[in-house]
Amino acid sequence: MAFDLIGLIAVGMEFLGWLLWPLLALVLADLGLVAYLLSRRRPLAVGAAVRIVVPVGIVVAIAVAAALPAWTGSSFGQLTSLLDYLAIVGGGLGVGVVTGLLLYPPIQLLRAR
Amino acid sequence: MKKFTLPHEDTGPDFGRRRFLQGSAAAAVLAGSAGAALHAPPARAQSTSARIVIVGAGAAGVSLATRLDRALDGARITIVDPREDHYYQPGLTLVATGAWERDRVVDRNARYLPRNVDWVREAVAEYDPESNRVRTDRGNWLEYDFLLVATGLQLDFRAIEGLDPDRVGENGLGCVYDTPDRAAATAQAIAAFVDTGGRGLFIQPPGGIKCAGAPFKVAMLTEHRLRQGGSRERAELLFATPHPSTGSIFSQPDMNDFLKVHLPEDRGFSMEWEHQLVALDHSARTAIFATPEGEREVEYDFIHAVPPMSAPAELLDSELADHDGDFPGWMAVDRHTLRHPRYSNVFGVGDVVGTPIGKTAASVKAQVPVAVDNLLAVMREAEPTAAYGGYTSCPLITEFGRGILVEFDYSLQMTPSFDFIDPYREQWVPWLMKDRMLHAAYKAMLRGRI
Repeated sequence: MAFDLIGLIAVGMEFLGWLLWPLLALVLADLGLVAYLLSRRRPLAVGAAVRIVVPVGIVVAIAVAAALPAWTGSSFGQLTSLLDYLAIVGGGLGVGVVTGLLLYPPIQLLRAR
Repeated sequence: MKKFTLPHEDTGPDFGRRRFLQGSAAAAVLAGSAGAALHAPPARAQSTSARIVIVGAGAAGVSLATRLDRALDGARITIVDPREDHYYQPGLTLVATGAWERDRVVDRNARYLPRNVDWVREAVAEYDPESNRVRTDRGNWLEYDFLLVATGLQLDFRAIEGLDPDRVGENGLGCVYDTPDRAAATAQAIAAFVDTGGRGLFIQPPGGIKCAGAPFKVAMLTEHRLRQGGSRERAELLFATPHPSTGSIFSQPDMNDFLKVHLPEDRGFSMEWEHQLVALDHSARTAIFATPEGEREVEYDFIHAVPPMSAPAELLDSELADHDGDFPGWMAVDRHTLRHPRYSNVFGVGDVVGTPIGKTAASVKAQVPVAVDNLLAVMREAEPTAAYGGYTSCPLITEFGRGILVEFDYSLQMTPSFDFIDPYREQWVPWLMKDRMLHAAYKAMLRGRI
């Protein structure tokens, strides 16, 4: 049974459920912050912000990967295949990267003052 | 050309800034486009003034309503069902085994039905396809040009003497089918059994049933609960099936072979072949089976009873039933086009139809677009050419945290949607899908998005 792109987006939206709208608001706020930062035409403290955001993203990724089996009422003992471990790593990486991206603009704002 | 600067260089962000703004704009446009695509009607909705009646507001009925509402311009679409609540039935197994709370599978039909669809909160009591009309239980006649039957099926508890659905949860009686309340009551009965141990009986009924994997799932998850609770050694588990040991307990041959070995050898079930449950003595906790050697009484401490199933009685009493075909007890349809063989303006979708396999929500997902496309073709006076290939799917949950994603079609060959998920292996990923992903896919299906 094939899923097309729109179908996958629809499933993703349903998966997020009530979280979708706060998440969208957060993304829009982040984009607003980025626009504000860039419009100031002052040097950005990219390095300083990245040095904060990357470790946070890594910690979140590890925490999410560690919590994923328990989140499904399961445990690491139930993982049986390479695919299972890839799913855990992929899930952690995905959430870690998204966290880093969302965190970057406010950190950048704080560091660039 | 100016090079994008990295962290501590901080020399001015012109190129990076422009690129970032371009990227942000592109992302915003992409997100907007996706949202618009999800909410826009098809490029050219088909104009009609036809009266379409959909009977049933379960998974199939609601999905049909949302798709037709988007595909047609000017149609008068009516859905007939008194139920306000919408049950996510694929989740009942998890409620019945204590993995999910009852409320997780209860939703509202009003959240999904389009505003343009007229919702008659009554039940259909009579089908009159000769006159293109149905009568509701309040005596109202609804006339149609096209009829879509999506009632689901009925559980025939009365076929087993002494099996009272109101007593599910009491005295060691469980039943995963039916309502979320009864699934939750089953979870309590299983929890009590895990505490006490004793003899557990797991029933497979004869004939077609919805979610044919559920009797196996409840059996295996109960066995896992016993192991988790440290009481496996105090329990004797029996799996009773009306089929002979040489027959099939599961439609898909590879899974059939797997289960016939896995249940007795890996999970310690005693397989009671050619045992058909015919009666229960609820107070005495005794089950009576019809076997080739005559009746056999078996005492139990817990029983997971599954009643026979069929199309609803009012449909069986009508000309829409399969009176002389391959699937008596179900609605007659062409197994590919889902169109009634005698009434060309009538289609059937979901559990109610007589097809070799396919009484799952996954089947509904495959059937609804076919029925809609063929209905649109018939409305244009064209031949219905869309074909349902028998797709069905069962995430066969073997333990809390493990399962096998089984997908197949009329050929009975495995038809995996995702090549990277091995359909012959117990893994955590199918459990992840069952526990966290498939409900989202189900809701998207109700909205007609997949």
